[in-house]
Amino acid sequence: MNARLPAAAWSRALAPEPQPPQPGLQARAIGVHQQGRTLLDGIDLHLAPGQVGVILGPNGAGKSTLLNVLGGLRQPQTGAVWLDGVPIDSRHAAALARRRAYLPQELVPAFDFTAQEVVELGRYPHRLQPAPDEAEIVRAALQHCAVAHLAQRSIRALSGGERARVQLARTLAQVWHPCPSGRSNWLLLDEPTAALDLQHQHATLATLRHWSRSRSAGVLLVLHDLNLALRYADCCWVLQDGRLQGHGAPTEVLQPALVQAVWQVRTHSVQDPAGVAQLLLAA
Amino acid sequence: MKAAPRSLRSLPPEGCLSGFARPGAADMTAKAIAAPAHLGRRGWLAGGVGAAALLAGWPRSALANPGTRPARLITVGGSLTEAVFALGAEAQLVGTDTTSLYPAAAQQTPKVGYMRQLSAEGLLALRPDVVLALAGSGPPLVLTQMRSAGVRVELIERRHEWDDVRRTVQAAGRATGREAAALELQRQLEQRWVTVRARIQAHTGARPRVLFIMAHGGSPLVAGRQTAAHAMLTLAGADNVISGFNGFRPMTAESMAAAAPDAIVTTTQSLQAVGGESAFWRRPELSLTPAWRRRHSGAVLLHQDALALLGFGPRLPQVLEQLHQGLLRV
Amino acid sequence: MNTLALKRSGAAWLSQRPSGPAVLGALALAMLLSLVWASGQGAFGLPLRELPAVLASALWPSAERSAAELVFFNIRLPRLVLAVAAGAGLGLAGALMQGLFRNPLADPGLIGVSSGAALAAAFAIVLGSLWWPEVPLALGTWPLMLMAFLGGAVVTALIYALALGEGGTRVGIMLLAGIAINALAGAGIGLLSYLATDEQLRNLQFWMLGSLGGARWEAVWVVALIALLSALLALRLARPLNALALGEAQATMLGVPVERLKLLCVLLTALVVGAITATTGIIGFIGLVAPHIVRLLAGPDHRWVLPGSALLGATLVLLADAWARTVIAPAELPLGIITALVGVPFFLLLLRSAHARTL
Repeated sequence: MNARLPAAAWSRALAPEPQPPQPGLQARAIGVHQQGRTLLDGIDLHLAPGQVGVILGPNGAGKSTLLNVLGGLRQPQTGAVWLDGVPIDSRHAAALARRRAYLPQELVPAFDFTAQEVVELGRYPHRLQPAPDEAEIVRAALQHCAVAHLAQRSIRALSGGERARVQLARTLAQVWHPCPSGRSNWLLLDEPTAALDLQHQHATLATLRHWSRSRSAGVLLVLHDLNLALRYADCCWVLQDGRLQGHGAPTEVLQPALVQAVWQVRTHSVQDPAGVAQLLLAA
Repeated sequence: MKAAPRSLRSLPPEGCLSGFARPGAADMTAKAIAAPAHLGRRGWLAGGVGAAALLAGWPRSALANPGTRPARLITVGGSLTEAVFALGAEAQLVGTDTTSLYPAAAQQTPKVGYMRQLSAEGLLALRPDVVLALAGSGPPLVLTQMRSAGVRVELIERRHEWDDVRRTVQAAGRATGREAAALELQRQLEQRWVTVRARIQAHTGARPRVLFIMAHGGSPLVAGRQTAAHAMLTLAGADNVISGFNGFRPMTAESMAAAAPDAIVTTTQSLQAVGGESAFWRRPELSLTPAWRRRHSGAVLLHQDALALLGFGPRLPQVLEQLHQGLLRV
Repeated sequence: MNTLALKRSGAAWLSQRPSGPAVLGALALAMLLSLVWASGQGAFGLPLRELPAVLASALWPSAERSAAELVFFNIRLPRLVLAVAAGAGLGLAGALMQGLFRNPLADPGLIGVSSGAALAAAFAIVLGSLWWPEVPLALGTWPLMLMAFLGGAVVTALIYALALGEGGTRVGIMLLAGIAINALAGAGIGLLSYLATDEQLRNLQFWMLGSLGGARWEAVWVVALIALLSALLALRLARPLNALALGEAQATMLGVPVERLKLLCVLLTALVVGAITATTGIIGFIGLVAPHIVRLLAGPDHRWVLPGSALLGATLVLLADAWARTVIAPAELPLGIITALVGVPFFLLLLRSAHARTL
C-alpha cells in the first residue's frame, strides 16, 4: 500500500464510483497499520445525525485509534472518512473545529486555568465569528454538566470526576449553537465516563442523548460499559483486534454469544422493568 | 627548606626607588592653587545655565589647558601602578585595577575592577584626565567611550622583554608630567639591569632546567612559551623544560616526568593557595621529577611575589637578580 | 501540605485573582518607574534631579557637550534601552518556552538555549578570528547574532525533539537534556579556550557571566528592534498557546495549526535569545521568574502572561543592572551573577511547591 499518497485520494482512486453526499459521519474501509502491526482493518461505519453511536471492545481493540481517525486526528493508510459528504481534510481543520468537538481521554492541563477558562477555550474555533452570547454559552455549558459551582476553581485542583465534567462542558460549548449552514454538529468522546461515579455516568449519557435528540447532533462515544451502551445508544460497533465483530442496534448486537466471543465473559441478558435490555454477569 | 625563601626575600632591594627626590613640588603646588580661579572663569563661559554649567565647568576645561594642575590618573596594570609610585606621583592616582597590589598603598586606592572588565561609568565617575592601561584592557567599547568623553587613554604594549619596563616608565612619566624623573628612573634601572644581565651571561655553568608553576586557583598550571614566566626563566639563564605549547596548561604526571626539571619556580601566592611548601611537594605530578627528589635541600623551590616576578615593572632588575642567585644554588 | 489544604488555599486565592488588563497596567507602571529610577543610578553621580537639564541640553546642543551629557547619552541611555530590550526579550522567551513545552519550569537558560547560543557565538569569536579575520566579530554585531541565533535554534529543536511527547513534555527529559546541553556548552567553550588567545579567553569567561556593559547604540538598536518585533508576533500566539495547554490533540481538534505554532515558538525564542546573548552574554532566570510571577498575579491566560512577562522581565533587568553597576562602584558586577543569586532560590522554591502536584 503506497502510504505516500493522501489516503483520501488513494481510496477515491479505488472506490467504484463517487458517493452522493449523505448526511452523517461515514467511514469506508478504514485501515491503520503501524510498524508492521495492524491497528484497524476494513472498518465501515455510518452514523446519522441525531443518533448516539458507541464503539465498544476490549482493551487494545483499536477503539481510540478509530475515534482518532474519525475525528481527523489521524490519517488512515486505507479508506476515507466523510462528514456530511465532505471528506475530512486537515486543511479545513479550523472550519471543521466549528462543527466537530472532540473529548480525549484524561489529560491534565499544564497550567492553573479555572474551570470557566477551560470552557472558554472550547469557544476558540469561533473567535473570529463570535456568537452574541459567548459568556452565556460558557455559563450554560457549565450548568448543563453540573459544574457551575466550580467555575472559579483551578482545574488542576479538582477531582478526576469534576475535571471530566468540566472537559465535557468545554466540548459542549464548542458546538453549542447549531451550524449556520444547517448541517449538524458532531461530538466525539473517548471514554467520557471513565472517571465518573455512578450517578454522573448516567447523568452524562442522559445529557448526551438529550443533546443529540434536541439539536440533531451526532454523538459518537467510546465506552467500556456494555449496560450503558444498551441503555443510551442507538447503534454500536464492536471491535476486536482492529476488526469489526458486529454493528447495529445494541440490543441486537450485544448478545451473550458475541459478548463471550469478544470479551470472554459469560453474561445473561435480562430486561429491566422499563423494558431496557441489560446484561448480567454470570458466574 | 624554609631558610632559602627567607634568604631570597631578605636581600636588600637595591637601586632604590624610595630614595628619589620629587622634582617640581613647589611649582606643582603653585599650579594647584592657581587652578580653581582659572576653572571658574572657563566654566562659566563654557557651560550654559544651571546644572549644565556646573558640570561643564569640570575637568574638560582643564584638559583644554594641560599643565594647569596635576593630571588625575587611573592605572590599569600592576606594573604601571608601580611605576607611578616609583615616580612619587601617587597623589595623582585616583583609581587602580585589581592587579595593582604593590606597593601596599596601591591597595587603598579605589579599585576599578579587573583589567578586561572595566566599567565606563565607573571610570568616569573618578573624573580622570588620563587612563594608562596595559594592552588587552577592555572591553574595547569602554575605552572608546572614555576617549569620546575626552579622557586620554594610553595603551602600553607588553612583549615580555626589557623594553616593557622602558615603555612603562616613560608612559608613567608622560601621564604624570614627570618626564625628567622618569628618565632618571629609567637610567638607574638600566644600569642595574645591565649589571644583572652581565652577571647572568658571565655564568658559564650549565643552564638549570626549570619548571614554572602557577596555582593561584589551587589547581596548578605550568607555563609554556609566549608567557611572562618563560621570558623570566630565559632571562635568568635557565631553560624552561616545557617547550611544546604556548600559554598555561594543567600539569600532568607523565609530562612532568618527561620534562624532568631540576628546580621549580612559582609565585608566593601560589604557595599560599596550595597551603605551604610541604603541601606543594605532595602533588603527585611532581613526584617523578628530579626536583622532587632534592626537595629537602631547600634550594629547588624558588618563589617570588607574582606581580614582581611576572609584571615586567620597575622591580624587574631586582627580581631577576634574586632569581638568578637562587638558581645558582640549584 | 496535603492536597486538600492546597486545593482550599488555591480556591480561595483564585477567586480573588485581579483582572488581566489591571495586572498589565500595574506592570507597565512598574517598568516605567524602574526606568526612571534606573536612569539616575550609576557610578558617575548623575542623579535623577539633574536629568531634566541633561535632556534639555540634547534639544539645544551647546558647542561643547558636558561630561554629564556624554555619560548619559553614550553610556547610560543605551544601557537602559538594552536592559529593557533584553529583559523584555528574555521574559517573553521564557513565557513562550513554557507555553510551548506546557511546563512552568522551562526557561531558556535552564534548558540550555542560552548556552547553545553562547557556544555558537564563542565558536564564532575564537575560530572566526582565525579563519575570517576581516569579518568583524565584536560582540553585538550581526554576524555574531546570526551565529547565536543558529546555536539557540539548534538547541531548542533538539530539546523539543527529545522531550515533547503526546502527553506533554517529559519534564525529566527536558531538564536532563538541558543539563547535558549546558555541560556540552561548557566543555565546548573549554575546548575553545585552548585555541583562544589569553585576551579572548578572559573575554569569554566574563561573557559567560553576562553583562550589559557592551551596550553601544549600533547593537542596542538591533536588539531592541528584534525584541519589539518578536513581542508583536508573539501576541498573536497567545490564544493558540492557551489552547495548546490542553494538549496537542485537543488543540488540533480546536483547529489550532499545532505544528506551525510549535515551529513559530521555536524560531521566535531562538531569535530573541540569540540576539540578546550575542550582545550581553548569558543572563539567566529572567525567563523563569517573570512568567511565573505574572501567572501568580493574572492567571495562566497567555494574553496576559506574554506581555506581562516582557514588562516584568524588563523591570527585573533594569533593577538588577542598576544594582550591578553601583554596588561595587567604580567596578561592576556581572549581571548574570545577580540574576542567578535571585533566580536559583526562586527556582528551588518553585520545585518545592511543584512537588505538591506532580511534575
